[in-house]
Amino acid sequence: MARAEKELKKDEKEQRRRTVYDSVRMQFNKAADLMNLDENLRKILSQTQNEIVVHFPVKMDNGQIEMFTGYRVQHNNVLGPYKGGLRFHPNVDIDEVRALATWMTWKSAIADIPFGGAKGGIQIDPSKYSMGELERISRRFAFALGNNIGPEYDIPAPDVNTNAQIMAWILDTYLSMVPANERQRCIHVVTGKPIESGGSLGREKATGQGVVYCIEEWARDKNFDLSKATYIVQGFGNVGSWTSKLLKPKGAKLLAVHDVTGAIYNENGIDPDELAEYVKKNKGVKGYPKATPIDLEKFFEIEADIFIPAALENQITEETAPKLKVKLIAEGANGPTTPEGDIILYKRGIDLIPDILCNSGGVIVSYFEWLQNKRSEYWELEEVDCKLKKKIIPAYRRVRDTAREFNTDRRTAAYIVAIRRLEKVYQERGIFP
Amino acid sequence: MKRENKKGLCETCIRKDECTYLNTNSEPVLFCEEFATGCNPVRETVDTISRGPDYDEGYEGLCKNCDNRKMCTVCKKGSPVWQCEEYA
Repeated sequence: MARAEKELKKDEKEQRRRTVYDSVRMQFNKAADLMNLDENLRKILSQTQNEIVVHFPVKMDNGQIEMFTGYRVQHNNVLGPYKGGLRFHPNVDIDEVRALATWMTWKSAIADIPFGGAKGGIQIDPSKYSMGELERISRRFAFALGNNIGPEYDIPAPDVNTNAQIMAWILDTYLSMVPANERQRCIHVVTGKPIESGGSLGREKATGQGVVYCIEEWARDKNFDLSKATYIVQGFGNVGSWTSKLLKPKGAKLLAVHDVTGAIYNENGIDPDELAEYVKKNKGVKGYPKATPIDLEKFFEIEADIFIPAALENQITEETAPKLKVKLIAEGANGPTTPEGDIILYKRGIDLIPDILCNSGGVIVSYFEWLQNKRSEYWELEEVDCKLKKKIIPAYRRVRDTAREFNTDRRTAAYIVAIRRLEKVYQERGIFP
Repeated sequence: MKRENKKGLCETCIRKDECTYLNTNSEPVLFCEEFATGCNPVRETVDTISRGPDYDEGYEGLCKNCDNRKMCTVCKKGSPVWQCEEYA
Protein backbone atom coordinates (compact mmCIF):
# COMPACT_ATOMS: atom_id res chain seq x y z
CA MET A 1 0.00 0.00 0.00
CA ALA A 2 1.38 3.45 -0.90
CA ARG A 3 2.61 5.61 1.95
CA ALA A 4 0.07 8.38 1.46
CA GLU A 5 -2.76 5.83 1.35
CA LYS A 6 -1.63 4.28 4.63
CA GLU A 7 -1.63 7.69 6.26
CA LEU A 8 -5.17 8.39 5.07
CA LYS A 9 -6.37 5.16 6.66
CA LYS A 10 -5.61 6.41 10.15
CA ASP A 11 -8.72 6.57 12.26
CA GLU A 12 -10.39 9.84 13.18
CA LYS A 13 -8.73 10.03 16.57
CA GLU A 14 -5.31 9.74 15.01
CA GLN A 15 -6.19 12.38 12.45
CA ARG A 16 -7.01 14.78 15.24
CA ARG A 17 -3.55 14.21 16.67
CA ARG A 18 -1.96 14.80 13.29
CA THR A 19 0.42 17.73 13.42
CA VAL A 20 0.62 20.43 10.80
CA TYR A 21 3.94 19.03 9.64
CA ASP A 22 2.36 15.58 9.25
CA SER A 23 -0.29 17.11 6.96
CA VAL A 24 2.35 18.72 4.77
CA ARG A 25 4.29 15.45 4.56
CA MET A 26 1.09 13.59 3.72
CA GLN A 27 0.47 15.81 0.70
CA PHE A 28 4.10 15.36 -0.35
CA ASN A 29 3.83 11.56 -0.06
CA LYS A 30 0.66 11.52 -2.15
CA ALA A 31 2.42 13.27 -5.01
CA ALA A 32 5.62 11.25 -4.49
CA ASP A 33 3.67 7.97 -4.70
CA LEU A 34 1.98 9.02 -7.90
CA MET A 35 5.16 10.15 -9.65
CA ASN A 36 7.06 7.16 -8.28
CA LEU A 37 9.69 9.36 -6.70
CA ASP A 38 13.05 7.82 -6.01
CA GLU A 39 13.11 6.48 -2.43
CA ASN A 40 16.38 8.23 -1.58
CA LEU A 41 15.15 11.56 -2.79
CA ARG A 42 11.98 11.05 -0.80
CA LYS A 43 14.12 10.65 2.31
CA ILE A 44 15.96 13.89 1.58
CA LEU A 45 12.89 15.99 0.86
CA SER A 46 10.99 14.60 3.85
CA GLN A 47 13.47 16.26 6.19
CA THR A 48 14.38 19.85 6.81
CA GLN A 49 18.05 20.73 6.26
CA ASN A 50 18.68 23.09 9.19
CA GLU A 51 16.70 24.00 12.27
CA ILE A 52 17.98 26.96 14.22
CA VAL A 53 16.58 27.76 17.65
CA VAL A 54 17.88 30.89 19.36
CA HIS A 55 17.22 32.15 22.87
CA PHE A 56 18.08 35.79 23.31
CA PRO A 57 17.69 38.49 25.95
CA VAL A 58 16.07 41.88 25.35
CA LYS A 59 15.85 44.83 27.71
CA MET A 60 12.23 45.90 28.23
CA ASP A 61 11.02 49.49 28.75
CA ASN A 62 10.84 48.89 32.52
CA GLY A 63 14.52 47.96 32.65
CA GLN A 64 13.89 44.24 33.14
CA ILE A 65 15.42 41.62 30.86
CA GLU A 66 13.11 39.19 29.09
CA MET A 67 14.23 36.05 27.28
CA PHE A 68 12.76 35.19 23.89
CA THR A 69 12.81 32.10 21.70
CA GLY A 70 13.17 32.42 17.95
CA TYR A 71 13.22 29.84 15.18
CA ARG A 72 14.49 29.60 11.66
CA VAL A 73 13.91 26.36 9.80
CA GLN A 74 15.60 25.89 6.44
CA HIS A 75 13.98 23.09 4.51
CA ASN A 76 15.81 23.02 1.20
CA ASN A 77 18.14 25.20 -0.88
CA VAL A 78 19.06 23.24 -3.97
CA LEU A 79 17.14 25.63 -6.21
CA GLY A 80 18.46 28.78 -4.59
CA PRO A 81 18.75 30.62 -1.26
CA TYR A 82 16.30 29.70 1.48
CA LYS A 83 13.29 31.99 1.36
CA GLY A 84 10.36 32.45 3.69
CA GLY A 85 8.61 34.69 6.16
CA LEU A 86 9.11 35.47 9.82
CA ARG A 87 6.06 35.42 12.06
CA PHE A 88 5.64 36.81 15.56
CA HIS A 89 3.01 34.84 17.44
CA PRO A 90 2.74 33.13 20.84
CA ASN A 91 1.86 29.80 19.20
CA VAL A 92 4.85 29.66 16.89
CA ASP A 93 6.63 26.36 17.47
CA ILE A 94 9.16 24.22 15.70
CA ASP A 95 6.58 21.86 14.21
CA GLU A 96 4.60 24.70 12.68
CA VAL A 97 7.74 26.37 11.33
CA ARG A 98 8.93 23.08 9.80
CA ALA A 99 5.64 22.68 7.98
CA LEU A 100 5.64 26.22 6.67
CA ALA A 101 9.30 25.99 5.59
CA THR A 102 8.62 22.80 3.65
CA TRP A 103 5.62 24.41 2.03
CA MET A 104 7.79 27.34 0.89
CA THR A 105 10.12 24.93 -0.95
CA TRP A 106 7.22 23.64 -3.04
CA LYS A 107 5.84 27.13 -3.59
CA SER A 108 9.13 28.52 -4.93
CA ALA A 109 9.73 25.42 -7.05
CA ILE A 110 6.33 25.56 -8.69
CA ALA A 111 6.73 29.22 -9.59
CA ASP A 112 10.12 28.40 -11.12
CA ILE A 113 11.97 30.99 -9.09
CA PRO A 114 15.51 30.31 -7.81
CA PHE A 115 14.64 30.04 -4.14
CA GLY A 116 14.43 27.29 -1.60
CA GLY A 117 12.15 27.08 1.40
CA ALA A 118 12.45 28.42 4.93
CA LYS A 119 10.33 29.92 7.67
CA GLY A 120 10.92 31.40 11.08
CA GLY A 121 9.48 33.36 13.88
CA ILE A 122 9.49 34.39 17.50
CA GLN A 123 7.17 33.07 20.16
CA ILE A 124 5.61 36.39 21.26
CA ASP A 125 2.36 38.29 21.22
CA PRO A 126 3.49 41.59 19.64
CA SER A 127 0.42 43.47 20.87
CA LYS A 128 1.87 43.25 24.39
CA TYR A 129 5.04 45.14 23.56
CA SER A 130 5.78 48.78 22.87
CA MET A 131 7.18 49.85 19.54
CA GLY A 132 10.62 50.34 21.07
CA GLU A 133 10.54 46.87 22.60
CA LEU A 134 9.47 45.33 19.30
CA GLU A 135 12.30 47.07 17.55
CA ARG A 136 14.81 45.72 20.06
CA ILE A 137 13.29 42.21 19.88
CA SER A 138 13.46 42.23 16.06
CA ARG A 139 16.99 43.56 15.98
CA ARG A 140 18.21 41.16 18.65
CA PHE A 141 16.61 38.24 16.81
CA ALA A 142 18.39 39.26 13.60
CA PHE A 143 21.63 39.50 15.57
CA ALA A 144 21.05 36.06 17.13
CA LEU A 145 20.46 34.55 13.69
CA GLY A 146 23.70 36.15 12.51
CA ASN A 147 25.04 34.50 9.37
CA ASN A 148 22.21 32.01 9.32
CA ILE A 149 20.46 34.61 7.17
CA GLY A 150 22.06 36.45 4.27
CA PRO A 151 21.24 37.93 0.86
CA GLU A 152 22.55 34.88 -1.00
CA TYR A 153 21.79 32.37 1.73
CA ASP A 154 18.47 32.85 3.52
CA ILE A 155 16.11 35.74 2.87
CA PRO A 156 13.34 36.46 5.40
CA ALA A 157 10.12 38.31 4.56
CA PRO A 158 7.03 39.58 6.43
CA ASP A 159 4.44 37.11 7.66
CA VAL A 160 1.90 37.08 10.49
CA ASN A 161 2.38 40.13 12.74
CA THR A 162 5.50 41.26 10.93
CA ASN A 163 5.66 43.89 8.25
CA ALA A 164 7.78 46.27 6.22
CA GLN A 165 8.92 48.15 9.32
CA ILE A 166 10.23 45.00 10.99
CA MET A 167 11.99 44.03 7.76
CA ALA A 168 13.67 47.45 7.73
CA TRP A 169 14.94 46.88 11.29
CA ILE A 170 16.24 43.42 10.40
CA LEU A 171 17.91 44.81 7.29
CA ASP A 172 19.56 47.59 9.27
CA THR A 173 20.79 45.18 11.95
CA TYR A 174 22.13 42.73 9.41
CA LEU A 175 23.94 45.50 7.53
CA SER A 176 25.60 46.67 10.70
CA MET A 177 27.09 43.18 11.08
CA VAL A 178 28.80 43.14 7.67
CA PRO A 179 31.88 45.15 6.70
CA ALA A 180 31.09 48.75 5.81
CA ASN A 181 32.22 48.39 2.22
CA GLU A 182 29.85 45.48 1.60
CA ARG A 183 26.66 46.93 3.05
CA GLN A 184 25.23 48.25 -0.21
CA ARG A 185 25.61 44.79 -1.71
CA CYS A 186 23.42 43.23 1.00
CA ILE A 187 20.14 45.19 0.76
CA HIS A 188 18.45 42.03 -0.52
CA VAL A 189 18.90 40.20 2.79
CA VAL A 190 15.15 40.68 3.36
CA THR A 191 12.20 41.31 1.06
CA GLY A 192 8.93 43.04 1.83
CA LYS A 193 10.80 46.20 2.77
CA PRO A 194 9.25 49.67 2.64
CA ILE A 195 9.53 51.08 -0.90
CA GLU A 196 11.94 53.76 0.31
CA SER A 197 14.27 51.13 1.78
CA GLY A 198 14.39 48.99 -1.36
CA GLY A 199 10.93 47.44 -1.55
CA SER A 200 9.26 46.69 -4.87
CA LEU A 201 6.29 48.38 -6.43
CA GLY A 202 3.36 46.06 -6.91
CA ARG A 203 4.02 43.98 -3.78
CA GLU A 204 0.75 44.98 -2.11
CA LYS A 205 -1.46 43.73 -4.93
CA ALA A 206 0.86 40.93 -6.07
CA THR A 207 -1.09 37.99 -4.65
CA GLY A 208 -4.42 39.28 -5.99
CA GLN A 209 -2.83 40.04 -9.35
CA GLY A 210 -1.49 36.49 -9.53
CA VAL A 211 -4.94 35.08 -8.72
CA VAL A 212 -6.44 37.14 -11.58
CA TYR A 213 -3.77 36.00 -14.07
CA CYS A 214 -4.53 32.38 -13.15
CA ILE A 215 -8.29 32.93 -13.54
CA GLU A 216 -7.73 34.59 -16.94
CA GLU A 217 -5.66 31.64 -18.09
CA TRP A 218 -8.32 29.19 -16.91
CA ALA A 219 -10.94 31.19 -18.82
CA ARG A 220 -8.79 31.09 -21.96
CA ASP A 221 -8.42 27.32 -21.56
CA LYS A 222 -12.13 26.79 -21.18
CA ASN A 223 -13.06 29.32 -23.84
CA PHE A 224 -15.00 31.06 -21.14
CA ASP A 225 -15.96 34.74 -21.46
CA LEU A 226 -14.73 36.41 -18.28
CA SER A 227 -16.72 39.55 -19.06
CA LYS A 228 -19.88 37.56 -18.41
CA ALA A 229 -18.55 35.75 -15.36
CA THR A 230 -20.05 35.94 -11.90
CA TYR A 231 -18.03 35.23 -8.79
CA ILE A 232 -18.17 35.08 -5.01
CA VAL A 233 -15.36 35.85 -2.60
CA GLN A 234 -14.66 34.67 0.92
CA GLY A 235 -12.44 37.13 2.77
CA PHE A 236 -12.06 40.77 1.84
CA GLY A 237 -8.60 41.44 3.19
CA ASN A 238 -5.62 42.16 0.94
CA VAL A 239 -6.06 39.16 -1.39
CA GLY A 240 -9.86 39.18 -1.61
CA SER A 241 -10.17 42.90 -2.19
CA TRP A 242 -7.33 43.18 -4.71
CA THR A 243 -8.54 40.17 -6.67
CA SER A 244 -12.03 41.67 -6.85
CA LYS A 245 -10.76 45.13 -7.79
CA LEU A 246 -8.61 43.65 -10.56
CA LEU A 247 -11.45 41.49 -11.87
CA LYS A 248 -13.72 44.54 -12.20
CA PRO A 249 -12.12 45.88 -15.41
CA LYS A 250 -12.48 42.41 -16.94
CA GLY A 251 -16.25 42.77 -16.61
CA ALA A 252 -16.75 39.99 -14.07
CA LYS A 253 -19.59 40.52 -11.61
CA LEU A 254 -19.09 40.12 -7.85
CA LEU A 255 -22.28 38.59 -6.43
CA ALA A 256 -21.44 37.90 -2.80
CA VAL A 257 -18.78 38.38 -0.17
CA HIS A 258 -18.31 36.57 3.12
CA ASP A 259 -15.84 37.95 5.63
CA VAL A 260 -15.18 37.78 9.33
CA THR A 261 -18.23 39.95 10.08
CA GLY A 262 -20.84 38.22 7.90
CA ALA A 263 -22.02 37.64 4.34
CA ILE A 264 -23.66 39.97 1.79
CA TYR A 265 -25.27 39.40 -1.59
CA ASN A 266 -26.48 41.45 -4.54
CA GLU A 267 -27.66 39.67 -7.67
CA ASN A 268 -26.98 42.81 -9.71
CA GLY A 269 -23.39 42.93 -8.58
CA ILE A 270 -21.30 44.57 -5.87
CA ASP A 271 -18.76 47.26 -6.76
CA PRO A 272 -15.40 46.00 -5.37
CA ASP A 273 -13.90 49.51 -5.12
CA GLU A 274 -16.85 50.86 -3.16
CA LEU A 275 -16.93 47.79 -0.95
CA ALA A 276 -13.18 48.07 -0.27
CA GLU A 277 -13.67 51.66 0.88
CA TYR A 278 -16.58 50.57 3.10
CA VAL A 279 -14.56 47.71 4.62
CA LYS A 280 -11.67 50.04 5.33
CA LYS A 281 -13.94 52.29 7.37
CA ASN A 282 -16.17 49.67 8.97
CA LYS A 283 -13.72 46.78 9.40
CA GLY A 284 -15.97 44.35 7.58
CA VAL A 285 -18.70 43.86 4.99
CA LYS A 286 -21.49 43.75 7.57
CA GLY A 287 -23.98 46.57 7.02
CA TYR A 288 -22.84 47.42 3.47
CA PRO A 289 -25.85 49.34 2.20
CA LYS A 290 -25.78 48.26 -1.45
CA ALA A 291 -26.19 44.54 -0.74
CA THR A 292 -28.41 42.28 1.33
CA PRO A 293 -27.15 40.31 4.33
CA ILE A 294 -27.45 36.56 3.85
CA ASP A 295 -27.08 33.48 6.04
CA LEU A 296 -23.55 32.14 6.09
CA GLU A 297 -24.81 28.69 5.09
CA LYS A 298 -26.45 30.23 2.01
CA PHE A 299 -23.17 31.77 0.89
CA PHE A 300 -21.80 28.41 -0.19
CA GLU A 301 -24.98 27.67 -2.16
CA ILE A 302 -24.88 30.76 -4.37
CA GLU A 303 -24.78 29.95 -8.06
CA ALA A 304 -21.77 31.64 -9.65
CA ASP A 305 -19.00 30.81 -12.09
CA ILE A 306 -16.05 31.31 -9.78
CA PHE A 307 -15.46 31.01 -6.04
CA ILE A 308 -12.40 32.73 -4.62
CA PRO A 309 -11.66 31.60 -1.06
CA ALA A 310 -9.31 34.32 0.19
CA ALA A 311 -9.67 34.09 3.94
CA LEU A 312 -8.30 31.13 5.85
CA GLU A 313 -7.83 27.39 5.95
CA ASN A 314 -10.34 24.54 5.98
CA GLN A 315 -13.36 26.32 4.55
CA ILE A 316 -14.19 23.93 1.70
CA THR A 317 -14.93 20.77 3.62
CA GLU A 318 -16.97 17.62 3.24
CA GLU A 319 -19.84 19.73 4.54
CA THR A 320 -19.52 22.75 2.22
CA ALA A 321 -17.99 21.22 -0.93
CA PRO A 322 -21.23 19.43 -1.95
CA LYS A 323 -23.14 22.74 -1.72
CA LEU A 324 -20.95 24.74 -4.08
CA LYS A 325 -22.51 25.66 -7.42
CA VAL A 326 -19.47 27.01 -9.22
CA LYS A 327 -17.28 26.00 -12.15
CA LEU A 328 -13.94 27.09 -10.70
CA ILE A 329 -12.35 27.54 -7.31
CA ALA A 330 -9.33 29.86 -7.32
CA GLU A 331 -7.58 29.49 -3.97
CA GLY A 332 -6.35 32.91 -2.93
CA ALA A 333 -5.97 31.79 0.68
CA ASN A 334 -3.56 29.15 1.92
CA GLY A 335 -5.13 25.74 2.54
CA PRO A 336 -8.82 26.66 2.14
CA THR A 337 -9.77 23.12 1.08
CA THR A 338 -9.55 20.07 3.31
CA PRO A 339 -8.43 16.70 1.83
CA GLU A 340 -12.06 15.52 2.14
CA GLY A 341 -13.27 18.65 0.33
CA ASP A 342 -10.71 18.07 -2.41
CA ILE A 343 -12.06 14.59 -3.13
CA ILE A 344 -15.62 15.90 -3.42
CA LEU A 345 -14.63 18.75 -5.74
CA TYR A 346 -12.67 16.38 -7.97
CA LYS A 347 -15.56 13.94 -8.17
CA ARG A 348 -18.00 16.77 -8.95
CA GLY A 349 -15.75 18.01 -11.76
CA ILE A 350 -15.26 21.46 -10.26
CA ASP A 351 -12.01 22.97 -11.52
CA LEU A 352 -9.51 24.11 -8.94
CA ILE A 353 -6.45 26.34 -9.08
CA PRO A 354 -4.52 25.19 -5.99
CA ASP A 355 -3.23 27.67 -3.42
CA ILE A 356 0.41 26.76 -3.95
CA LEU A 357 0.06 28.08 -7.51
CA CYS A 358 -2.84 30.52 -7.32
CA ASN A 359 -1.50 32.72 -4.52
CA SER A 360 2.17 32.52 -5.53
CA GLY A 361 2.11 36.10 -6.86
CA GLY A 362 3.40 37.30 -3.50
CA VAL A 363 6.54 35.16 -3.46
CA ILE A 364 7.17 35.88 -7.14
CA VAL A 365 7.17 39.64 -6.54
CA SER A 366 9.40 39.08 -3.51
CA TYR A 367 11.83 37.47 -5.94
CA PHE A 368 11.55 40.57 -8.13
CA GLU A 369 12.35 42.78 -5.14
CA TRP A 370 15.42 40.64 -4.44
CA LEU A 371 16.49 40.91 -8.09
CA GLN A 372 16.00 44.67 -8.21
CA ASN A 373 18.15 45.09 -5.08
CA LYS A 374 20.86 42.83 -6.49
CA ARG A 375 20.96 44.85 -9.70
CA SER A 376 20.47 48.25 -8.03
CA GLU A 377 17.34 48.82 -10.10
CA TYR A 378 13.85 50.12 -9.51
CA TRP A 379 11.25 48.64 -11.81
CA GLU A 380 8.09 50.42 -12.89
CA LEU A 381 4.81 48.86 -11.81
CA GLU A 382 4.07 47.82 -15.42
CA GLU A 383 7.35 45.92 -15.55
CA VAL A 384 6.59 44.11 -12.29
CA ASP A 385 3.11 43.13 -13.53
CA CYS A 386 4.40 42.00 -16.90
CA LYS A 387 7.13 39.84 -15.34
CA LEU A 388 4.66 38.38 -12.83
CA LYS A 389 2.39 37.35 -15.67
CA LYS A 390 5.31 35.74 -17.50
CA LYS A 391 6.10 33.66 -14.42
CA ILE A 392 2.69 32.62 -13.21
CA ILE A 393 1.05 31.68 -16.50
CA PRO A 394 3.68 29.08 -17.48
CA ALA A 395 3.40 27.73 -13.92
CA TYR A 396 -0.37 27.41 -14.42
CA ARG A 397 0.18 25.56 -17.70
CA ARG A 398 2.72 23.19 -16.17
CA VAL A 399 0.23 22.25 -13.46
CA ARG A 400 -2.61 21.84 -15.97
CA ASP A 401 -0.52 19.62 -18.24
CA THR A 402 0.82 17.55 -15.35
CA ALA A 403 -2.72 16.96 -14.08
CA ARG A 404 -3.59 15.58 -17.52
CA GLU A 405 -0.40 13.51 -17.72
CA PHE A 406 -1.00 11.80 -14.36
CA ASN A 407 -4.78 11.89 -14.59
CA THR A 408 -4.93 13.49 -11.17
CA ASP A 409 -6.28 16.57 -9.44
CA ARG A 410 -4.50 19.89 -9.88
CA ARG A 411 -3.31 20.12 -6.30
CA THR A 412 -1.41 16.85 -6.56
CA ALA A 413 -0.21 17.92 -10.00
CA ALA A 414 1.16 21.14 -8.52
CA TYR A 415 3.17 19.16 -5.99
CA ILE A 416 4.44 16.88 -8.74
CA VAL A 417 5.62 19.90 -10.75
CA ALA A 418 7.50 21.20 -7.73
CA ILE A 419 9.03 17.86 -6.75
CA ARG A 420 10.05 17.10 -10.33
CA ARG A 421 12.04 20.30 -10.49
CA LEU A 422 13.89 19.38 -7.32
CA GLU A 423 14.31 15.78 -8.49
CA LYS A 424 15.98 16.93 -11.69
CA VAL A 425 18.51 19.09 -9.83
CA TYR A 426 19.34 16.29 -7.40
CA GLN A 427 19.81 13.87 -10.30
CA GLU A 428 22.14 16.30 -12.05
CA ARG A 429 24.16 17.26 -9.01
CA GLY A 430 24.18 13.97 -7.14
CA ILE A 431 24.82 13.57 -3.43
CA PHE A 432 28.15 14.57 -1.90
CA PRO A 433 30.53 12.75 -1.42
CA MET B 1 -20.37 28.38 12.74
CA LYS B 2 -18.45 30.11 15.53
CA ARG B 3 -14.83 29.10 15.79
CA GLU B 4 -14.24 26.79 18.73
CA ASN B 5 -10.58 26.53 17.93
CA LYS B 6 -8.42 28.47 20.34
CA LYS B 7 -5.11 27.33 18.92
CA GLY B 8 -3.08 28.87 16.12
CA LEU B 9 -3.69 32.45 15.09
CA CYS B 10 -7.20 32.57 16.56
CA GLU B 11 -5.90 32.66 20.09
CA THR B 12 -4.68 36.23 19.85
CA CYS B 13 -7.01 37.47 17.14
CA ILE B 14 -9.12 40.39 18.32
CA ARG B 15 -11.87 39.37 15.91
CA LYS B 16 -12.30 35.84 17.27
CA ASP B 17 -15.56 36.63 19.08
CA GLU B 18 -17.24 38.05 16.00
CA CYS B 19 -15.61 35.61 13.55
CA THR B 20 -18.10 33.95 11.21
CA TYR B 21 -15.76 31.53 9.49
CA LEU B 22 -16.51 27.88 9.55
CA ASN B 23 -14.41 25.62 11.69
CA THR B 24 -15.17 21.94 11.70
CA ASN B 25 -11.81 20.54 12.60
CA SER B 26 -9.31 20.95 15.35
CA GLU B 27 -6.27 21.90 13.32
CA PRO B 28 -4.82 25.27 14.28
CA VAL B 29 -5.27 28.16 11.87
CA LEU B 30 -1.88 29.08 10.41
CA PHE B 31 -2.98 31.54 7.74
CA CYS B 32 -5.82 34.03 7.85
CA GLU B 33 -6.21 37.09 5.68
CA GLU B 34 -8.33 38.74 8.35
CA PHE B 35 -6.21 37.96 11.36
CA ALA B 36 -5.86 41.09 13.50
CA THR B 37 -4.19 41.92 16.76
CA GLY B 38 -5.08 44.84 18.98
CA CYS B 39 -2.93 47.89 19.48
CA ASN B 40 0.00 46.79 17.40
CA PRO B 41 2.37 49.74 17.35
CA VAL B 42 4.32 48.32 14.44
CA ARG B 43 1.27 48.20 12.28
CA GLU B 44 0.55 51.85 13.11
CA THR B 45 4.09 52.85 12.17
CA VAL B 46 3.94 51.25 8.78
CA ASP B 47 0.49 52.63 8.10
CA THR B 48 1.96 56.06 8.67
CA ILE B 49 4.84 55.34 6.35
CA SER B 50 2.68 54.03 3.55
CA ARG B 51 -0.30 56.34 3.79
CA GLY B 52 1.09 59.62 5.04
CA PRO B 53 -0.73 61.81 7.51
CA ASP B 54 -4.43 62.66 7.15
CA TYR B 55 -5.46 65.89 5.47
CA ASP B 56 -7.23 67.50 8.40
CA GLU B 57 -4.56 67.06 11.02
CA GLY B 58 -3.30 70.60 10.96
CA TYR B 59 -0.60 70.53 8.33
CA GLU B 60 0.54 73.92 7.14
CA GLY B 61 2.21 75.53 4.15
CA LEU B 62 2.34 73.85 0.76
CA CYS B 63 1.67 70.42 2.29
CA LYS B 64 -1.86 71.38 3.25
CA ASN B 65 -3.27 70.99 -0.25
CA CYS B 66 -0.49 69.13 -2.03
CA ASP B 67 -1.65 66.18 -4.15
CA ASN B 68 1.53 64.28 -3.29
CA ARG B 69 1.13 64.71 0.45
CA LYS B 70 -0.24 61.23 1.12
CA MET B 71 2.85 59.63 -0.35
CA CYS B 72 5.25 62.23 1.04
CA THR B 73 7.72 61.06 3.65
CA VAL B 74 9.05 64.47 4.68
CA CYS B 75 6.06 66.67 5.52
CA LYS B 76 5.64 67.01 9.27
CA LYS B 77 3.12 68.50 11.65
CA GLY B 78 4.27 71.90 12.89
CA SER B 79 6.94 72.24 10.21
CA PRO B 80 5.37 74.15 7.35
CA VAL B 81 7.07 73.74 3.97
CA TRP B 82 7.08 76.77 1.66
CA GLN B 83 9.36 75.61 -1.11
CA CYS B 84 9.10 72.13 -2.55
CA GLU B 85 10.03 70.73 -5.97
CA GLU B 86 7.51 67.91 -5.51
CA TYR B 87 4.56 70.18 -4.72
CA ALA B 88 1.60 69.42 -6.96
